[in-house]
Amino acid sequence: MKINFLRMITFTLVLFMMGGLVFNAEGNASNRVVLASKPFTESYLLTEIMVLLLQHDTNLDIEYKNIEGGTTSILHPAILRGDIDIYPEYTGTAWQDVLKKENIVSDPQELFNLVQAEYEEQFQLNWLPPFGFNDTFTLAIKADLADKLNIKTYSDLAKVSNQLNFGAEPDFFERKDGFDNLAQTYGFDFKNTRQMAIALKYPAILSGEVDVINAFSTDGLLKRYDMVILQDDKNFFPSYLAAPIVRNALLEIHPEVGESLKKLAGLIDETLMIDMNYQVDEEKKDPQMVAREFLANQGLLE
Amino acid sequence: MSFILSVFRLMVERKTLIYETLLQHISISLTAVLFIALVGIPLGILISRHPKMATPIIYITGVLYTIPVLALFGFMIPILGIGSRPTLFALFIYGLLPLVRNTHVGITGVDRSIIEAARGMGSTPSQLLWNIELPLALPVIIAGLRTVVVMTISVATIAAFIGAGGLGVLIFRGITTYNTQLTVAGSILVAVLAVGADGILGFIEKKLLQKIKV
Repeated sequence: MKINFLRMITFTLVLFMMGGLVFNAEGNASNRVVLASKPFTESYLLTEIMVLLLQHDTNLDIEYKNIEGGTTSILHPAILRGDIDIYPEYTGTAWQDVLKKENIVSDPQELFNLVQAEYEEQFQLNWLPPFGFNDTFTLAIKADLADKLNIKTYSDLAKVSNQLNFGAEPDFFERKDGFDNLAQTYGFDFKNTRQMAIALKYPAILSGEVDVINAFSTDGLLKRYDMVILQDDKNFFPSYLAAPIVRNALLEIHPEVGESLKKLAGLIDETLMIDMNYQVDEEKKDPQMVAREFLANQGLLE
Repeated sequence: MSFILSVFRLMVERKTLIYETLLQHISISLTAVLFIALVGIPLGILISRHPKMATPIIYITGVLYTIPVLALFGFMIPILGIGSRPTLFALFIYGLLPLVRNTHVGITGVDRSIIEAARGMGSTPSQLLWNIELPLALPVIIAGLRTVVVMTISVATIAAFIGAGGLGVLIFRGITTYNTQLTVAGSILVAVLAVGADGILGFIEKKLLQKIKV
């Protein structure tokens, strides 16, 4: 009964350990730039675009870190810690969720300037110029239902809301510019409200489980599911300009990163963003491919 | 049928992404299992030596086991950040219970008469442990290890949530970009990996048991 099995176990464990160490080794060179995105198509696209452009324009080691739980509550602490260097953020989200401001700033450019100044001062994070489009929240409803009930604005919706079911991602029920305040402003009283993952909202509309959902104004799927966007007649939702946030520390060592990303300023309007989102969500194209096409069309890869 | 074909077509199209996430997945799981084994087995031995510690330790690992992974990530970010550290921490916490419990049960379940006989022949406590108790408890310990490996490979899917990569990337990406094929591809690979690892451990177990019986 020799204890040879011990040697075998030790051997296996050592193999495990070596494997683990080799694969987990993460270089920490100062040439490494880590980008991340939020977990939805538009953000994947923006980050892919930035990654490809930086790879083309700089000699740095550009890494795209997949953080599938990457909402602001995860990405913001991560960029403060320096775990990531760059990610695309929205002004409205930064204003309310990160900076915890209560007041609504209706002018998009003014909101951007305020957010930029606060981030610089509080977090040493730099907001580069916005990509161009405004991806605000909106409410959407099936076109035929909107016709039948004659709903065009949020106020119209409030009148019949007790006959309808509402669905949104859990996030939306938590935020200040989210469900509670919205329902209060307009007097919504839905028959039922449901929380579901972003990606499950459209299937839920199709199956008739919900009638009204919150949606992003640049969402490519609105077109496909034959949904209409209602008009925010009391200007409840703030603006959400998307722009890259970069750590100041990175820009000091590598100013070329800022120079490169500034080329993207104002290049993507709502129509272009809807189209690119549509190509990924509906035509099943690889986000990286769509990003590459965009950059090539803009002549940024020459 | 055409759906399954489209899944395989997608696997070929995205083969670099799939290869990369597969390697990450294996690496994360193996590293986690290593840490679990290095702590779990000695801890199981320890509490079988000191019965008073057994209940509290098994209770604590049990409580850790019940913390939802996502909650854990939520409050660990300021301390552990993102990437492999918080993932390994979470997997470690989840894998501890089955291994500690099985090691404990395996050792305390060894027939008392055999132990008395070995003592009677003059075995020291450490000889008792290495020559009698561990070999006899081995089937139960390995059963625990197999549970841990399969569970870890499957739970490691959440690594993607926090930026540590792995096959979860395919699954989450598939969901968020309405690409069912990608989600299915990720799930199949996780399942294949788990079943394969379990099979390999089963084989090692068989070989070990043959050796010990000699």
